[in-house]
Amino acid sequence: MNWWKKFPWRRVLAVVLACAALVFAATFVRGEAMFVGVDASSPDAVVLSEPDLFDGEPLGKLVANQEVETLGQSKGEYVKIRVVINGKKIEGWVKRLALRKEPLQSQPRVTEASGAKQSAQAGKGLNDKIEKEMREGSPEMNAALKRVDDFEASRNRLMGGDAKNPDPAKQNEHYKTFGKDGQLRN
Amino acid sequence: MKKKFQHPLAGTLLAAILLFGLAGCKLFEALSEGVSALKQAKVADSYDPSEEYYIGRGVSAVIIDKYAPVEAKDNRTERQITYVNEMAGYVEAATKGVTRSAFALGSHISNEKDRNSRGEKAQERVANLVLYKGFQVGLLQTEEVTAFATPGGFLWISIGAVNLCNNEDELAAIVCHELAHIILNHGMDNYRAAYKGEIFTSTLGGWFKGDGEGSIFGRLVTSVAEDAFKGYNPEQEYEADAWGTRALAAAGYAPEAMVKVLERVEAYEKANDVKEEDYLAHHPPISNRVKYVKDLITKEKLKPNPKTMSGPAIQARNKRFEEAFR
Repeated sequence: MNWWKKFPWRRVLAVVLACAALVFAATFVRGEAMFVGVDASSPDAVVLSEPDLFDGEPLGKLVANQEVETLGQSKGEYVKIRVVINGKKIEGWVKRLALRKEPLQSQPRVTEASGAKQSAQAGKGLNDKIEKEMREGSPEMNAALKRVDDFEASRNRLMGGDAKNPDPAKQNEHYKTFGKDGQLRN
Repeated sequence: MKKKFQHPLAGTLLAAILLFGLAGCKLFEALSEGVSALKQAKVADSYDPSEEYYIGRGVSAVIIDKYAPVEAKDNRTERQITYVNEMAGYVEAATKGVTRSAFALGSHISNEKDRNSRGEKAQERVANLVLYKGFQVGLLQTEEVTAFATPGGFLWISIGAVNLCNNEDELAAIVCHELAHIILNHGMDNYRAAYKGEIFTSTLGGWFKGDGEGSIFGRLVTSVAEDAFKGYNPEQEYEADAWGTRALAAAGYAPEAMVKVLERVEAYEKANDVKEEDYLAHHPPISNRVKYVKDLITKEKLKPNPKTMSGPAIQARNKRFEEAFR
């Protein structure tokens, strides 16, 4: 029986094409979910109105591990995103490298030369928890890191208006003004 | 009764699918385990931006234990700290088009194979580098001519190095060279080398007791910091000169400022009889670097936009440099 001759190939093909179109459209309309890979104080955490620091205006500020939706548009090192900030939906540009496919997390690590206890332990990565342990175990390191804290606090206050939570948009404004005042840009 | 269609091979086909399905599951499981082990083995090569930031904090702690930082205690010191941070942030933003390719940066190496010695993985890390909190620039209260760049975006410049500069463009040359070490991931390359080689040879090892994670990281970070006191390796220094010189031009500064600064460093070395253990002694011979930078400027015809080199523009930059540091 020549059942394949009666098989509705055209209909199946139409359904397959329709599905492919739907998948394609969904990818580009909904975009891809990504996560912010920089701290809220980073100049790269600012969502800009234009894909350029010197031309763009700040629209909002992202925080680390915040989920954003990429919209499939890119220009230079910037990509267009959609994100909800303070309950408001915003569309703007951020640096592609400030986004990651996975959220930031401290992962266990092993060295290529496996079995080394020190490296295996050290391989867990340095984060605030391990830094705290390091400080508690060493008064000298604690004193030295206290100076780093003081330095960061004064630098943050001067550049971003706040010792703990500097405003990245203010920092970007400093950079733009520096270029303009020094007549380094047209 | 209508006869049901059944292909003679249908049963065999179904059995084969089931068999392959089962085998596939086992195969998939085994493959997954293999991939997972591979991922774990390789994961020591990848660090989150936040981890690089904490490594940078640890290395910075050792640097400012040796050299006291300039504290923002009055208008003058506040102006100085703001000025160098503004400069670094501006340069980073204005130099996006400057290549980070090891091939292009390693043009001082005649052998093409060695030019790519960093390998694809290292090159990929450079291409994907992002700083968790951006650049943070501090000044060190010492007349010694020295500067350090750590993983995670910390940059330290001595007052001695600032005093070596005659104008803003020359200070920008130092900033561009040090930014290059961060942007090209040199600090993390050295950290990885120390980590994989299990180098825990810090003279500050006595700061840490026991085998806890905190102590192990303490020893590692202090080892890397002490290594930083010796400077980067010659290849990294040439790369930083190449990126820094191109960055100067792209940011609107005179690329020749890099030559001027290197010549001043050379004069400083001669005048101060730089010892073997000193930071500068571990850099490649300055005369070679001067020649390399001069050749690069000529070969690539590097020059900034003429407007940024106009009299009023240079005056505006030098005025603020004088106000901050003289």
